[in-house]
Amino acid sequence: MRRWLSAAWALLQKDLQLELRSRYVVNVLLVFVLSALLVVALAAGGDALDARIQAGLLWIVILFAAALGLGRSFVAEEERGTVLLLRLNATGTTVYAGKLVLSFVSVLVVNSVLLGAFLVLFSVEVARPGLLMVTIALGTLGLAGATTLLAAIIARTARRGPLLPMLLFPLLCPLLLSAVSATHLSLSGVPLGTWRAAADSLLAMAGFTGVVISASVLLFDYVWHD
Amino acid sequence: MSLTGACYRSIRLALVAWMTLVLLAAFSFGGLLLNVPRIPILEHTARNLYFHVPMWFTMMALTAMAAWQSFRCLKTGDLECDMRARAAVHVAILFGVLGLLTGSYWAHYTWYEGTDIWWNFDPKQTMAAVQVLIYGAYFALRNSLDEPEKRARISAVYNVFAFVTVPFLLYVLPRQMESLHPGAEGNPAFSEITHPVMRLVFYPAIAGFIGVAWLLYRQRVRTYRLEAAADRRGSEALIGHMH
Amino acid sequence: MRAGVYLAVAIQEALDSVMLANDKLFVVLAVVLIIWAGIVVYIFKVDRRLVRLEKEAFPPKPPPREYPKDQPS
Repeated sequence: MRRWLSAAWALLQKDLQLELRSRYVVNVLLVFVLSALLVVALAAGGDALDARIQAGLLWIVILFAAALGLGRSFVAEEERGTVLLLRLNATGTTVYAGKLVLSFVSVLVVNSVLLGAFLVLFSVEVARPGLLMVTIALGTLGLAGATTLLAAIIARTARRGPLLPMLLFPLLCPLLLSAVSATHLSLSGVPLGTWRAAADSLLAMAGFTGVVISASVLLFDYVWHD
Repeated sequence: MSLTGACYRSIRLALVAWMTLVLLAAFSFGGLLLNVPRIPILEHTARNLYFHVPMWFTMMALTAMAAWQSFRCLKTGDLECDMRARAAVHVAILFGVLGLLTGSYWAHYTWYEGTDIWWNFDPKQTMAAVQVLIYGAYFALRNSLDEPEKRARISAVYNVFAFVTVPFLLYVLPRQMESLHPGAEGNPAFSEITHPVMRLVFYPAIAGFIGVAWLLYRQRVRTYRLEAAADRRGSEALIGHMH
Repeated sequence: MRAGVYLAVAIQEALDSVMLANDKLFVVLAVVLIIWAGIVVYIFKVDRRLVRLEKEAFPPKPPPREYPKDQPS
């Protein structure tokens, strides 16, 4: 167990160093996310949007950003030619854990910036900031969990282009729906117990995240090794 | 499990007879036998229970079959299991599309009577459409993989992964949202609104449709086997030619 | 153009009146026909492919060559 943890930690450190040096994922995602928000704001034409639509737009931007940025994590290894070395030296689960944490952290960073811009640009008033943060964190974890396995899958295919969004969007529908309804509640608030009203959605998100991550851990070896 | 042609043909004949009986029973109205209780908006369309709902049961059975075969494929690396999973997913998409079409048609003349609505994003309906998309993506993924063993393994991983998320799509979320389907938030469960008499036809109809799906599945598996054999012959001929 | 719109509306209305008559029994008929057509089209498509593949896999044997009998072999 300790050896497993230290191996996963080493992998994560390596990826973090690479990421900090180039800042590829975070930079691309930040630019994408901010321009997408601006486009949405322009399309809305300055009208005040309903809290439900605001929540939906926020999560659509997050979903597209994840599909753009996270698909790179395994393709980059293949392009650098490091994938064989990694395959020889690390077990599947350590690789999965390292990539999962990296994806989670980078999307979380991007999402916090996005959230700040979103709150300012649309002049949103948040009724329950705590609930909003928990929802974003949980949603990001589920997103990263599902995307990591699918990114490993598409790194093995011949034609990678539009495949990740195609696989990812339908699979993430349950997570997206619960996240939107929890975010909606956190923005508008309910007179009696917003947290209790959001409990169903949060539980569904937690369940989805748990199922997706445990299935990925079990299945990852089959994608990783030849 | 291998079946002789005669055995397969007799099962097919039995299924045709069975489905004919189901159809007759479903439409035997006005008489003494199995008179369907009338519900205001539904009227006679309550009989669609025998046709629309089994589509989803059949699709679930096929996707479970596909996930099981994919799981076996991962464990053994057997390409036969991959063919079976692929056939099951293909037939599952057929039943999913039929379920969507019939559901949309039924709803147009009952829930949305007097309007132009054919599709209203009812949660169950939308989730079912999403499920069909998930399995459509399975074939897109297969098309982008060339090497047979790798294709079998990677698509099996996706298939098992997709299957574990389906319960959220079909059972967890629709229950938390407003829907016109039974069993949704505030709606009575299926067993409370269905007259016991209807089950006499409903359950045989499910069994019959699953049987039909099994026939289509066997037929499909057979085409895949022949195609694989043809591919093998082709590459052998090519190698022979080169020598 | 306008005639086309009128025709479409007329067809829609006729369809609606048929479907809603007899306590909506025809809706059930339409649903059954959708399923029937879907399954039949699927069966025939797969079957055509199957026949072609089987012809390739098991080509018909050429008829045995007949030798004239009166010739000494």
